[in-house]
Amino acid sequence: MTTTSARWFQLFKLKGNTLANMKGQVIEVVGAVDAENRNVGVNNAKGGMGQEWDIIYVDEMPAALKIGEENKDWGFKINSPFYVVSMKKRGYFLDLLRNNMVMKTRNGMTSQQWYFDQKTRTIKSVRTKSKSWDIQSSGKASNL
Amino acid sequence: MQNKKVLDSGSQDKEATNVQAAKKTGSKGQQWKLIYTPDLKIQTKGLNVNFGLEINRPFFIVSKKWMNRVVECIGASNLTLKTLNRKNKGQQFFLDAFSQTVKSQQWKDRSMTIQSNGASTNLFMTTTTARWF
Repeated sequence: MTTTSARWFQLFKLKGNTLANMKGQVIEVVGAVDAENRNVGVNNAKGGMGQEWDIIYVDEMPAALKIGEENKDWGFKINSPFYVVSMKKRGYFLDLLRNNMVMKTRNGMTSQQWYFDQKTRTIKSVRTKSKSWDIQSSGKASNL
Repeated sequence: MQNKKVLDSGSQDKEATNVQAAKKTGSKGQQWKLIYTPDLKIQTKGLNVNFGLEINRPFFIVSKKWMNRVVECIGASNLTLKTLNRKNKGQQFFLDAFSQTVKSQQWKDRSMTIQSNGASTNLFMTTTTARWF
């Protein structure tokens, strides 16, 4: 006879898209917040993407996408400038006017060009590359 | 046993349950199987069907949330969500054949653990104590 060594709190199984233990707890992003440095913990299984994971073996991890290749998950080609054109009769172009996004007649300016940035997964302005599409007031407003 | 009693673990199936000598009832708590040591083989590669993971094969744990960030072990302890960095072994884990725990590829003596012996909701990496045997 010897000291007990098996401990349930170190044992996790892959069950579907969750990493679960024998008490029905699963690994989750705390608060389901998809942010850098967010803590990872355990909780009772409730479903939702905050508790879902893909296990990707290192030798099967797809290569990083290159410029011009399509990120199929997001539907954009990487770092490839594009216009956003209204389907309404006048076919206005989406334009960056100071910090605001407005409809304008096509003018050939880079303020009407956008690109998908793979690193941040945001849509950025070709004219002002430090700026991304953003819903004002941290998503609380309806203004872009 | 000579006194006609048998090993009895009671009705509970949990860690650290005491085993006693008791009068035979035939309950599950009194039933055991003997496995001779040479017959107890340890799977050291391939898919561990019970755990759903391949043994000793490094993997990333990729969030299904939109940014597809991965779990990273920071400072050999805390687990946080981070942008994928393929070369960072702190983001790589593997299922250990012997302990059957998820270990860090960077700190191989550490396993994914629920803090405070499972009483917390925090997850961290600490020295491995689990032994499936």
